[in-house]
Amino acid sequence: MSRMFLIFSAALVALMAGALLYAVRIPTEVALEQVAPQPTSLEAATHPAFTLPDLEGKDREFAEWAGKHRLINFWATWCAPCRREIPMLKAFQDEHGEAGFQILGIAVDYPDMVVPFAEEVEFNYPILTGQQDAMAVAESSGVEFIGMPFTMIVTRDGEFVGAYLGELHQNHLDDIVTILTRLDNGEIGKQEVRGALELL
Amino acid sequence: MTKRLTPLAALAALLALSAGCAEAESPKPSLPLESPTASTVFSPQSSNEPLPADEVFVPDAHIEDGALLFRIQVLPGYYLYKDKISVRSLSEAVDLEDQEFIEEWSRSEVVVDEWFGEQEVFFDEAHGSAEIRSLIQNIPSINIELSYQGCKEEGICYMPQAKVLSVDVPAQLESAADKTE
Repeated sequence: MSRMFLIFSAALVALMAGALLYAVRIPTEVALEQVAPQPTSLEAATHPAFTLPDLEGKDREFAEWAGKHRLINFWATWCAPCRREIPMLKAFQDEHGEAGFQILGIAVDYPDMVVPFAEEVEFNYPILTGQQDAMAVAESSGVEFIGMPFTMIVTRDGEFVGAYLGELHQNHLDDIVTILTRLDNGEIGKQEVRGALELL
Repeated sequence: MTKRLTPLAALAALLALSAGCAEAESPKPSLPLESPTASTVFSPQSSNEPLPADEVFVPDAHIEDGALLFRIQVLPGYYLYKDKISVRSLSEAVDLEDQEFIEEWSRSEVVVDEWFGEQEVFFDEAHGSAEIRSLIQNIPSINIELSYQGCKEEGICYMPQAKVLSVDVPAQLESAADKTE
């Protein structure tokens, strides 16, 4: 009887020790996972800053358009959905330019392809060009740049608040204006803007 | 006053502790770390988001009967422009003739684009061949560059892709090359 008791007591002690060690280990893992997230490229690039040449070869700084809500639209002459967006973006610039909205086109393309096309299209918003350097701007958003059209949205104070992969349509632009106007009016904050852009 | 733990009580305690440990060991739902990328990118088709080009277009090539045969597999819902597909040798040891598409293995369709007019595109996959005009030296493999560009239907267009592939040279072809030297 006492032998059985000893066996049970030893097992009990061993189990309690194991449980104690386990209990100590769990919070450590959770804490590491929750407390030490790695910084992301998005966090590092919340305020895009870049310089790219325009169609005349002159370097233009993004900060030149500071104070406006900016839609940075990446496109190329060989990209059909990108070309479809252009008339709508021109109309948007006409309609909302005075209210402080600015379309900025970045052609990820060769200038000798872009220049004749631009003459034909008669853009009413600035067009910058680039290759790897232009793609680096898109990827500074923290998003893998896999194709076009691709549009980044930056608020008046230069903060990146969202990106859109795919062809924009009129309802998207209308919603973007509504959301950023509400931000201007102090009705919503940046977090709400990000959330609302996600729902487009 | 000290009460001795009876074997029965010890067994009960053991079972209770085991149950507690089992509960503690059960997998705990980990808190998802917020992904800033996912939270700030929006797409028209969240359940059908465009995949990276390397997952959509999968190229491969091999040498058969003195010709380089290449293939680009295309996921459903995506397509490649025929006139954007090209292959060239990166090895001085080999010279390729102009490529031809193997029509019976490739399902191409003519689509009318409002900007580019009639365009021949490949759905599913594109097969082509390029005759090996000369193979200067006896080498186990050659490097080729396969270029292509495509889009997602109703979606985005991918940047032009240029993939370098290493292609084994069959021993039979090496022997043939040896004879020409």
